[in-house]
Amino acid sequence: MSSTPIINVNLTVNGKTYVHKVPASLPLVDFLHEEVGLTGTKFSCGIGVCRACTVAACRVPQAHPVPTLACSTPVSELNGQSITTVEGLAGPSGPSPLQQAFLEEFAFQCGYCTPGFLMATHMLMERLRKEPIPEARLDAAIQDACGSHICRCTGYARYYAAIRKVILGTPGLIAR
Amino acid sequence: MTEHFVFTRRQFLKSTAVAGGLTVIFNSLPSMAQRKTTASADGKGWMGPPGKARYRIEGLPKVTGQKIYARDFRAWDMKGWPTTERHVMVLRATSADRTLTAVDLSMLPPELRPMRTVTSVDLARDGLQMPSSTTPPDGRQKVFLAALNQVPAYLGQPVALLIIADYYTYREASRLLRFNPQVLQYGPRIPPSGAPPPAPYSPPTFLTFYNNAQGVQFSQVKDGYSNPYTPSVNPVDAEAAKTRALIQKEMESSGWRLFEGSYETQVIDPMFMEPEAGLAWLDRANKRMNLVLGTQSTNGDLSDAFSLFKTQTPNSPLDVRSVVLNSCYPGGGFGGRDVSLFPLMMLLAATYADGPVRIAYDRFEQFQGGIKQLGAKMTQAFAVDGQGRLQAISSQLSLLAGGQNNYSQWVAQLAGYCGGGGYKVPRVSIDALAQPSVGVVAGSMRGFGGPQAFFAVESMMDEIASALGRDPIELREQNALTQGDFTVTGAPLQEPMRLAEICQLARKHELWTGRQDEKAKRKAKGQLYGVGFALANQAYGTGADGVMAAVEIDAQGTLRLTTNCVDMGNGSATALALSTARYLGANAASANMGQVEFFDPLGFVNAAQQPTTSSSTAKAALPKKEAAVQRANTSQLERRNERPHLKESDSTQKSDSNPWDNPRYTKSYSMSSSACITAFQQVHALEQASRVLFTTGLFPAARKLWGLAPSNPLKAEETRWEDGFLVAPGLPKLALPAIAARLHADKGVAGAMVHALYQARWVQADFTLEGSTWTWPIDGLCTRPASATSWRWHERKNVVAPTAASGAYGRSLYSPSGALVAVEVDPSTGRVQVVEVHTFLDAGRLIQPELVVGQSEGAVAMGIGYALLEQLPLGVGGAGEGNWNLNRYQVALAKDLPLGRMKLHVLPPLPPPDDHPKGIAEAVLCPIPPAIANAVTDATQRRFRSLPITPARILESLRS
Repeated sequence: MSSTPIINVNLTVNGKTYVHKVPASLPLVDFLHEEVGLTGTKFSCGIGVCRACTVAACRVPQAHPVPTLACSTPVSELNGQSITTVEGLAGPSGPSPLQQAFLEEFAFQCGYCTPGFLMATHMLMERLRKEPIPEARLDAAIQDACGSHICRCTGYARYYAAIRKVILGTPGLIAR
Repeated sequence: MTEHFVFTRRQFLKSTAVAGGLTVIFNSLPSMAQRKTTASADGKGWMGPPGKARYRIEGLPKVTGQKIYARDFRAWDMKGWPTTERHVMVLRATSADRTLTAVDLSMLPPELRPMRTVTSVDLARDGLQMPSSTTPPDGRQKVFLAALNQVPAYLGQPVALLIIADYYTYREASRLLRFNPQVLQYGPRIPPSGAPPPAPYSPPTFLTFYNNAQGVQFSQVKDGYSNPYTPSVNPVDAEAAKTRALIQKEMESSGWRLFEGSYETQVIDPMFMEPEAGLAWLDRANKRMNLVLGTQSTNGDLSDAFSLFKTQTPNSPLDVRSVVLNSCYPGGGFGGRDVSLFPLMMLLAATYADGPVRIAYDRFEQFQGGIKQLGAKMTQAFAVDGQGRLQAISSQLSLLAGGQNNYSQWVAQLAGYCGGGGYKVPRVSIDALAQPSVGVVAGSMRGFGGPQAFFAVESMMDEIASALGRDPIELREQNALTQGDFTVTGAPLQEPMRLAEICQLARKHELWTGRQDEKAKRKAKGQLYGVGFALANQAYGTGADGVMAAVEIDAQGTLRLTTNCVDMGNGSATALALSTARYLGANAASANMGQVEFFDPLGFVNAAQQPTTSSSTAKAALPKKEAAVQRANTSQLERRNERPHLKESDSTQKSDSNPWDNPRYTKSYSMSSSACITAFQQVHALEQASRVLFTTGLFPAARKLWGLAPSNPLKAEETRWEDGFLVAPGLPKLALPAIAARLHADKGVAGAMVHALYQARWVQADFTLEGSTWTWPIDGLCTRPASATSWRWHERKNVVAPTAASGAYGRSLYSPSGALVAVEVDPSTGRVQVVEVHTFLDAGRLIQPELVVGQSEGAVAMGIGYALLEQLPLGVGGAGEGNWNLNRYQVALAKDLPLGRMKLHVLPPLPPPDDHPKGIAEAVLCPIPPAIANAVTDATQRRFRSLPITPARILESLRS
């Protein structure tokens, strides 16, 4: 099926481990779509600019998740790592508070870039959980986490409002 | 792997047989995803109180990553499809001035070679008929796929479809073929022949308008379509030429000040986030073409499918008897998915494949093959009298189209209609032409010609104000159109026009009144600061809008709506689901979007099926001149809106008959979905369906629950809904579920399906149901009794059709808007930062305010991109060469927007009947780019007459 090297990849996606033989150059987004059947992670630019494909990657269990661009990161570079995608955010009782905030603030429109914003914010919240910041630095932190994400439908304002709301409403993220 | 999507029996009900024997079937995949998740963590779901949403109806699938876009679906997701899926790569021409000599795939090892390569030879051999929207300019090769030994018609023209066995093979093959200059081989460059440029795409738009104290002397509405450059062809053309000569003479000799200038807007890409993708499968055993698409024009795509196969003989290998379109939520659209070429690629690939095919463009391919916004070169002259009143406009608008017509001519037409801005101008001479090029195909995009024209007009208005020493907003206010004035087509403005009110609000705003102080403050910090304003009077709708909707209620009182509308993210599904509340007291629990086949019981026929005998009254009502106008208008609508699977009308016959005499006729059956047609047109249809359901179903059931005798005079309009209960004077309140239960027990009317047509007014007619006759603003009606599976058609009587003259209005619905924009310009870098935006908007009554605000903020982002960032050569060096992506094409990021300093000021709704919701998605965009340009001028004292205004241009200008 391929003229490029085939490797064995071991990847944990949303808590479930997959061991697959795939081309070494296969980007993570293709692994998720073709091998795992999870299409929530979106392909848009394919060159790591728009960040719609952002997922969270942990090098080792319990490590701090790192924003990873699934469209341009070969799955071979992630071997053994643990990946969280948008499908892994909701809990058993429904969407996470972050997803709920995106809903209630009418943060998105077409929604295609939403998984990227959700994952970037999810990782920001994980970081703030460990290293809370003063509220005065929150806008800069949001910009740092989400400022490179492209949305073509909205003016970003409602995304940012939702992100502020959920962070301010989550105990332990803001140093009081 | 993933769950199959199982279709209900209803969704596979076969539609009526139509011309050519094709049938069409629609499914809505997202609706099925929607059913799987109805509630969020708190269990409340999307629905708020009646008429309000807690969040978007399709929101939960979007935030949880469910399959909702066409790109998400694969053949194995589709029930009944083979699970083997082929992948298709489209090879596209990268030169349009050299002969294509060879397609060389020898760099592919045998295991990566395509199973099948589809070329122009296949299409010609098999007689596949491409739709008229793919017409190249005169003199260019008239083949959809570029042929060998000919010069490709345009950059990015598809050359071949490579059908490849599976995804991994496709992936490896594409890595070897992509950006490889050896694949498509060309002969030497052919020097320009010196031949004149090709004629504009037809029809060109020529507007001539002359109004004086004695009234309108000449206009499109009064006199019909005219071409002043062919005065010998028709008397109306001669009259147009004569009128234009008079306008020119008066402009030169009346002592008015003349202002002239040339303005340019650039080609841009809609850059919706989901590159086009989809599935197609020609089920040869059943002669059925199956599609999975995210499209704005379900009807147009079906039209293309019909056109492709219509000449096939029965039992030929390409005989297709039915088309199934599985419609998905598009990941953005902005017009770029309206008559896109992508569905044609899907159809062709499936035609020649041995099973299901998938095409999933990457961003390079989307730039290379996706529809573009037309650029424009606009030269205009405005004449202003001593009091500052606009007396005449003369404009030549050349819209830069690509290598096929697509919607270019209609985009140019709307640019022409917008060429007078929001102003009262008694003398108008406007040419609006779509000029072909060898660039990527251009067509519909947000604003549809409006952004181009308003940039030119609103830039010039500021220039005039500056020259006259007038406040630019006050000058606009003085000239603003008001109710009763005429548009550039001569159409009377029937609704209150709140342009002057917008000017007044903007002029009093502190951003405007305090701009000099702020400028001085920022100057002290080394920054240039400026505030600009622009006014827009963007139309919504197409001038003759056909819409349809159905609403049904089950025995528990749950409402379900069905519509042909598509939600591109603008919130149509949510807004429609809320719009049942007015008459039914509750929101619809589900919205089946993008449906057309569902409405077949309405039983409309096309013009060719009209009776040929004419009535004397019809003759009197439709003078010959106006009939010609109507024909011209209809030909446009056939392309954009007409029901796809019917034969095109024969415009040579029956010009003296009144087609409305046939109760099965409507002028426009179905139209493409744009973001701006939901709030007024689609909501109207749904509200009327709800009204019929209430009047003929729920209210009779409520009367029975109340125990009212037939003689009791209580009328439906004397009741009202309060918190889900039906209330009437002196009677106990009734819960909707209780009424629904009684309705079903009595086998009353449980569903209503309507079609409505707006052309300057809603067509209205009388309908008789259960012995009572009502007059409703609809032109088609079916109802469904509880427990029945089929719909009952109700004949309309006493139809009040649109006036013949209104067929030439062009547009009659407007959403006035204005924008105040403040910018800061760094004189050392030339960078412009938009620091504050206030948008003023007449949106009528808001359905869900958050959706409107979201549209407005998105328009600010897109407007900033248009004014300052986005640029894409149409021809050489542009997207057609296949190497454009977001590393080169810059759209607005969050840092480019004034987060926290964007404010939408919605004018309070007027009293009924002028309080109806208005389409605003395009209206909120149109004033942003010129307001930014005017603000930059205010900051730099330099005028920029072309877009985008880049830092390099500003630096160059500041240094000059």
